[in-house]
Amino acid sequence: MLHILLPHPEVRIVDKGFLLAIYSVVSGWVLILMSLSLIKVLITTLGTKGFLIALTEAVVGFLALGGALYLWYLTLRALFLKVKSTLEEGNGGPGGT
Amino acid sequence: MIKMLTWISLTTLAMVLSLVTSELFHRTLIPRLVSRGYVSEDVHKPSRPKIPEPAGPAVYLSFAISMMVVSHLAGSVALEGVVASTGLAFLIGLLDDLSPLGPKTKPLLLIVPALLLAVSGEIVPRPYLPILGRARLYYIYWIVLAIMFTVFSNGVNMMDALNGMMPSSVFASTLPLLPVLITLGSHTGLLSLTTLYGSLIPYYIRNRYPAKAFGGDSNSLFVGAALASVAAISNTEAFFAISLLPFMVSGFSILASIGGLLERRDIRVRPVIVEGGVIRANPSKEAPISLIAILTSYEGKVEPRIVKEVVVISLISGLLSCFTFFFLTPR
Repeated sequence: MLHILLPHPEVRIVDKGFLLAIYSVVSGWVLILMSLSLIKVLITTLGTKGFLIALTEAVVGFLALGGALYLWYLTLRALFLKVKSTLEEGNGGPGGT
Repeated sequence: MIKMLTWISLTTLAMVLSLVTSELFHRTLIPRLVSRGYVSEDVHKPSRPKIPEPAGPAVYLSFAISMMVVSHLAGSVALEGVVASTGLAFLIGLLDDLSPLGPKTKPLLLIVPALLLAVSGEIVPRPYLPILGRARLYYIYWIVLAIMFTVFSNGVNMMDALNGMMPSSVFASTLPLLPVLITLGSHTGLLSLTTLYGSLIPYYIRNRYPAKAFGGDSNSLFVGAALASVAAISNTEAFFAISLLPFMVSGFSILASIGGLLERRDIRVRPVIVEGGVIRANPSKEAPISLIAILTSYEGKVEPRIVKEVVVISLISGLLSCFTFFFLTPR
């Protein structure tokens, strides 16, 4: 009975490009939270007393964020090229509203 | 209670004043831009119409006047600091509109508005951070502030690519942050953000599809600096960064794929191609990744559809930021 509420199977509400854009934002958010979680672990284990310890935590945190961003970019690029290859295979017609 | 009512009145006054003055400035400026030949081609339309540019002065001046009136009434130095730093970003953008600055000069110049805000003495280097809570970043904060101004301004500039895309995505990504600013009791942050909304609404009406005005870099750099200023005076830098993630996707991806700083107009292989009003990702493997290229990687899309999708993505990132503040940030 519920199937009448669903759109026709050929009608695409969201396409792979839109999903990839959502992935890029959500994965970026997860990476930021993971980097901050790593800093939290460092603070819990090393403490916050002393300039050198605080500096180490900040440097490790920034390196983790930088590394995570680079991995994020590599994954995004791989997915982007994969989705784009379908565009080259003849899916490039107008899909606008 | 009286203090709160005063701030509510001041916020309402600032927003209404900026809305009215922005509308008046737009009505005055746009015919003058046309008569003096300050127009740019809208390259995403088959007919390539000529659109007046830059409308940035109408947006910034309305913001500055409203903020100065309210800062005089409230006696707030922070608001004056916001006007000064955003004013400098606006001037850098106007200079870029009139005579393009180099790809390395512009990001470097955008550090100066951050310094101007810092010397106002109203910035407390204790940002709220997700997972960690309120941090004390007395040394490293000032470097982060400078980077934030450059990243936000360039991110907003990159987002100003299609009709109505920049103002609508700014609204969508920052509206979910209003409860955050209210919860933190950041009156100055809330007032600055709503004043920015007031200035942007008349611009959005003219910039939405089909555009009747373009803001230029003077507008986008000012808006980016205004968002960075609001984040800094309210200590919500991390939450603004999360809500503006879609703005940074293009910036970071282009930076990583090109391997350096380049102006949007200087990118050799364009991220997208336009055919009869339909935009699609450039099939070349060398083409840089941008948010529009990602959205059109599967199928070609018309301009209004892309903008609608960007607004949805911006709203998602804004809601993620709001969720992060209320559920993942110790206070």
